[in-house]
Amino acid sequence: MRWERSPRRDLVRESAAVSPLLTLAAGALVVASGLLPAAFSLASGALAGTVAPAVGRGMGSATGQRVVVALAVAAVVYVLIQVVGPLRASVCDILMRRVDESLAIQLMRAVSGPRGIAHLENPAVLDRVAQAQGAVTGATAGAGITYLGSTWSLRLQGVTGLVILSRFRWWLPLVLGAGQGVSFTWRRRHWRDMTNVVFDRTDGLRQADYLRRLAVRPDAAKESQVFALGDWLVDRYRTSFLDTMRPVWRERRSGGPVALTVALLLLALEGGALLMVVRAGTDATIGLAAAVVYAQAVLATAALGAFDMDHLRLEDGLRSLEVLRELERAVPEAVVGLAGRLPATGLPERVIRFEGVRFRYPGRDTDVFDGLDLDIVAGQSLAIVGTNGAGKTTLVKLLARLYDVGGGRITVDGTDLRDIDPVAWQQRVAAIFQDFVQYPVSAHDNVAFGALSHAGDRGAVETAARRAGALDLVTALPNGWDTVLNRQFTDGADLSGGEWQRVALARALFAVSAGAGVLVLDEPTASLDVRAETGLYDRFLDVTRGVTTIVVSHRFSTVRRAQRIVVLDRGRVVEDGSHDELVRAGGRYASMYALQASRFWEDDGGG
Amino acid sequence: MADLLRNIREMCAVSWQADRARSIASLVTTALVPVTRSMQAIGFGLVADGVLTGDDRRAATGAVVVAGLTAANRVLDWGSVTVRMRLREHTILLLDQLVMSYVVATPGLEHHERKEHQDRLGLIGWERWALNNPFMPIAWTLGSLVQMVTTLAVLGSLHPLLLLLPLAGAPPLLIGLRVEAMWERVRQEHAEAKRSLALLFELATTAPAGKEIRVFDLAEELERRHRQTFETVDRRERAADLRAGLMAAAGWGCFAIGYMAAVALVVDRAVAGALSVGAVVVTLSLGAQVNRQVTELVDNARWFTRVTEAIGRYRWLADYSVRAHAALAPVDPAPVPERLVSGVTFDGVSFTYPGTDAPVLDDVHLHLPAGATVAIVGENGAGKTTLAKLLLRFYEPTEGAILVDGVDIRHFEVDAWRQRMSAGFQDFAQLQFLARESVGVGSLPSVDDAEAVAAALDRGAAGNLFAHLPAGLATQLGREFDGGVDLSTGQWQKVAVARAMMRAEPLLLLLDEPTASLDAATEHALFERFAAQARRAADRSGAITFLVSHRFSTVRMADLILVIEDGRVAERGTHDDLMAADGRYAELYRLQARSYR
Repeated sequence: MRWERSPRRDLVRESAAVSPLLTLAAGALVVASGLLPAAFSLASGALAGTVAPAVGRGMGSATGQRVVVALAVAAVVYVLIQVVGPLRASVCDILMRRVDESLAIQLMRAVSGPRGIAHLENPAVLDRVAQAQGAVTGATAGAGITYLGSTWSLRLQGVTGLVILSRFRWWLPLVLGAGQGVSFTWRRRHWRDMTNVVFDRTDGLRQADYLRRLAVRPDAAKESQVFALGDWLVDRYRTSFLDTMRPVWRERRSGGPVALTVALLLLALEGGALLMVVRAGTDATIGLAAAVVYAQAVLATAALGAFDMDHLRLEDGLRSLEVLRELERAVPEAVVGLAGRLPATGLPERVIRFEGVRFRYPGRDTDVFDGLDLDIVAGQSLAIVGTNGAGKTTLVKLLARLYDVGGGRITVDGTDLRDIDPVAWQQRVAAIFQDFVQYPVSAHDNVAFGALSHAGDRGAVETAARRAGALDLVTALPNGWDTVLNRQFTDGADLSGGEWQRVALARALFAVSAGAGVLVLDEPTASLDVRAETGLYDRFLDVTRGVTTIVVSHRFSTVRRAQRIVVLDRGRVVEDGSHDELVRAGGRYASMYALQASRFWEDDGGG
Repeated sequence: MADLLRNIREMCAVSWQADRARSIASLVTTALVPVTRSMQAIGFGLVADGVLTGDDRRAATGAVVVAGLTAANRVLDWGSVTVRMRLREHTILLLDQLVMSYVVATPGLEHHERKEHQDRLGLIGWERWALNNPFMPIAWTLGSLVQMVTTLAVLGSLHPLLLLLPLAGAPPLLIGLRVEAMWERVRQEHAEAKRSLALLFELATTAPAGKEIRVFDLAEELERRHRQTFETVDRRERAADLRAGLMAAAGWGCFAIGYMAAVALVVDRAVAGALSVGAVVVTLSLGAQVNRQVTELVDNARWFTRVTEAIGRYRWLADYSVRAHAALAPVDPAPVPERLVSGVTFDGVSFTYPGTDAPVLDDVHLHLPAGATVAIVGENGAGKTTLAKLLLRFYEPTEGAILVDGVDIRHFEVDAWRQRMSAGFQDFAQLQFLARESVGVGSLPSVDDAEAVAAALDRGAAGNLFAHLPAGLATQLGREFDGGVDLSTGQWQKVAVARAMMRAEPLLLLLDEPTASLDAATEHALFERFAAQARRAADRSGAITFLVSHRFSTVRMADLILVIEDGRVAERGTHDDLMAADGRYAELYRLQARSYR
């Protein structure tokens, strides 16, 4: 069982990487707090031994002087014990925070590193992320530093006990050590089994936590108030939590009988050892001081068999670390297709071509695309229309290489997209998705996030904002460009839905101005008011000149501006042409357009 | 002192309510562990005396006592850990339920935007693992005290001066309390930064943001900000840790010196022949125990103050909720009318979002006639959504009143009023439940009624939305959980619209841009159904449909159109009236119509 040692070493390595000096200090303090109690018990024994001969002779006598020296030694050791504890706690606390930060960053990197997003939509991976955070057991790996210290100093105390006992009977430490080892191993194995039971139920715990967050966070606050969902959410949370935990509790009870067995085994061993020590004492084979020291040493070995709260928290923290390492290994494997080395500079110059593309989401049993063919001409604008669920957004995700195709291929100027470096390709793509992100950062950064390498170019940020119709709203904010766009933070401000959309649009346009060659706009105008939408499209051709633009929209006022329009239905292109051509053709596009536009025409007829 | 007692009582109540049997078991096991430990010292005394006097039986009895107690302790420890873990889980469950109900029961949205509210929620969120089982500090303090008394009894029997030993524990105790107070200040100051850390982590590790993070290559930036925020926080916390360590070490040094003085006293008496050598052994062997007891007392005192702070946070949230409710409680309650006769009137309503200066609505006068479909148009940020939020009583007007058939809505119980409304929002929630539930929660009594859900889907022009899902209405929605199926944004919006259609006869149906993500055919079908439904509902209950939209093709079907500009009603009338008036509406309409010609 190789895991037995490696996560511990891993944790120590992490700690040393975070701060070698503090790790060394923590190590020294741990060793000190492990050895000092034994030193104190030796000093106590020595002190007790010096008292008997001095009785009646007074402190001033030679024997009395020996008492004073022994007392002084014991006192110094005792003071040291007291001082070492708090210092160790502080050092471990600092290390804990810094290790947890470092591991949080590593976890972020493991999850956000792969260029695809399939793993983010995989419940099994989300389970692992929750486990690696320590969210399932409540024990982070960093907290393990403290427990590692306390368990090691305990173990050191136990080992010291064994060493002391070896001077009494050479074989006694072997017997006691073996007994304590059995106790420890069994109890740890049982605990690991239990943590596995909890881990197996992570999905249930995440569902319970989802319900908790629904109640506590603002995301669903409006719904929960209008529909009076409060009690229902609380109730469901309770049921969900209890249903998930019941098997865990059943498992935990099974530890009782064995804990009892182990206690009896150790009672026999320790009791026997103590009786031997006592017998030797009364036989005067050993002196009183030695008897006391040996008796305490027998009890000190119990530290080797103990598996208390600290041990189990440590074990759980180490499990988090193990899961993190597994994630680091497993996630790149899961997205192994998302590789490629060819540069993407200047792509596309001619055409992005979907050739017989097949795709289905992992875990689904129906294809989104079953042989999609589509040419996207470089430097032109293309609009994609279709009913809800026709695959428009999926097409965009494939284009941005957030997923790789399941069959067929996508080529860019003839090169298979899978051979192109995904990072380089994604840098060519600027996209605003329907569910664009509302970053809790300043207004400036919300736009500049489109192209961080150009974030210093204030002028370009402003231009992008002006083009997206966001400049006026930003200047009206209390702190202008520096206003944090989230009301939950100090001096933060909130935007309306339409205002947010303008900011997100500005982000994509900023990316284009910084050099992105492919602009993807997924429902860019859904929440925009009439004037903003019209303004945007009046500038549309200007903004997208020379840029390959793909617009997904249900608003035909938006769609018709594109140089070319394709209608997507059940994963295939069913119509293809310019607005005028498609309207003339009288097909599906024409009827969808007519549905929206006819009301305006009626108006023409009427007046 | 009264405060302290109140907190203790509350802490007990929480544990008691969470799990009675284990509360008792936890108290008993926790108190017994230290008792067995101090009894061990007596066993050791027997061993020492037996060895010294060569009394075989006495020494053996001592050995058996010591070994037996060690074994008993082991079993007790196991039981104690098991009991405490379970109690902790039940307590977390209970505390979570409490917090959830405080937050959801707080009317309005303001608390979600208030820093002090969010900070407390954040702190509670992180404390829930550490601060569960508020019963423990009490049990442990009692345990340590019992142990302390037994130890003192032993020591006091040796020499009365040793009874003063607890005084040596004063410095570490007082310093411990000061350190805890310092940490509490740090925690409060850092609550906001820590929320920010959690948000950054979430952005980097969840799917919705994942798309943009990749396209814009933001992973490293999020990482950088995470690290930067952490370093800012940690600089302060490192200093606090260092200070805490040194202060505590000094306090414990004082204690150690005090204790060794006691040992010196006993040794001196023994050398003088007044006490036996066994007394020295006992005092010394108690050294480790006294140390542990005082450590536990200090830890418990710190833990106790920490739990008290946490309880304070829960109480603050509870009080906030109660106050928010009280503020909305009708002084002169009136029943919500069964049907609308005249309609809903905004009478000089002004509104400024809390914490901001600029009014969003400024002296708005408008009338929504009973039975009408009213469309609200205006530019982004004009205050359209705010009108809906005031109707729903998410906020209260800063000035003026909203009247329903002449009755100020403040005379209605909030819950009773909302019971007669339904709504679909622009930023609707994507509820990752079973498909049936995600729609059904729009009317909880029918949440599991497949027929009612099917009817709502039909009313929301989404009749076949779930037809293609693997388990139909019983399919788990969303990709976060096992077996979940994700929907497109448009499909999610259909769910939200259907949800708004669950309540049978609302007096007021609010639809805030309900079709922003819908395809043309669905939008068309939806509005034909809305219109028909609105007419039927209007006849029965005088219901009003309140629609915010940017699509003039839809807006023009409304009975009444209100144009909102700069927080005021700029124009009102039917489509024909407004076109004839040739004002702002006509301008905007033509602007959009131009795109369809």
